[in-house]
Amino acid sequence: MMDGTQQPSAMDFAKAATNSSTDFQAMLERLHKCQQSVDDLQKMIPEDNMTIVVFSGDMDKLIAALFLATGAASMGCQVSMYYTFWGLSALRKKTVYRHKTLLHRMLAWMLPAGVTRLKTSKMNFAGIGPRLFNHLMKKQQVPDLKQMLELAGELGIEMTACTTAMQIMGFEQDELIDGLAVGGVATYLQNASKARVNLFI
Amino acid sequence: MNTIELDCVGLCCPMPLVRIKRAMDEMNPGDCLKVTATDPAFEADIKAWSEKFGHVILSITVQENIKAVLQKAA
Repeated sequence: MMDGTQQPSAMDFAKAATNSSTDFQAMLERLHKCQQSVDDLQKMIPEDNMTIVVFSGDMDKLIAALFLATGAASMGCQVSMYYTFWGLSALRKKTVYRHKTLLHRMLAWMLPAGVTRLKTSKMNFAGIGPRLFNHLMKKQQVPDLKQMLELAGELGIEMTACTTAMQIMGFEQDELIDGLAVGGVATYLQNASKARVNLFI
Repeated sequence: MNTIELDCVGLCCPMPLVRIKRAMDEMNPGDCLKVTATDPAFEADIKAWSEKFGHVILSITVQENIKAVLQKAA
């Protein structure tokens, strides 16, 4: 029976079976790897979040930051704001001198004692500017900074105070407005890497 | 199906959106919200806002005021 069309022997079947089972194993492995890559990539896709670093302590810039934040929050974004340096010192609710070094007392005295005492970045005119803008805003039914901060709280905007700035400026948490969490660079970056919109004001 | 009216006349951006969001959160799917606003950005903003949440804009009329009727998504 040597006609060239050899019948497959039992041996050949066994070989093919082992081959296909190793192929199958390899395929399963690849599938598993693919699934893992997809999972990893999914973790890297930014969510509909927004972060704002508020560095400035100017009244006008804070207004811009809070308007963007409240607007984004009403669009369903999870917003987190990080207050550092001048931005943080704008969020004091009282001036505390006790248990502070001379330099920290000096800072406490010189920095604006609350959100209603901030300067504008332009046209401050020794404090007339902010009054003028507050007057204009009231006329246009635009909420002022204090109301905006309350609104931000109601809308669930996360507000975090930078701990390094607190230490440099000599602020304790109880002299800053209520509802501020504390955090550092890692807290910010963790949120920022998951957010689509990250602003520095 | 209820229709709720919301007056945002004289309010500047983003206050109309803040109020609309609050009102919408309290409504049931299918309910309508009739908003009146004067902010010039309102027409563009409400379109973007509704698209974001999937709410349907039943009508927008721009005259002296901007009037929009929104239907809450299911």
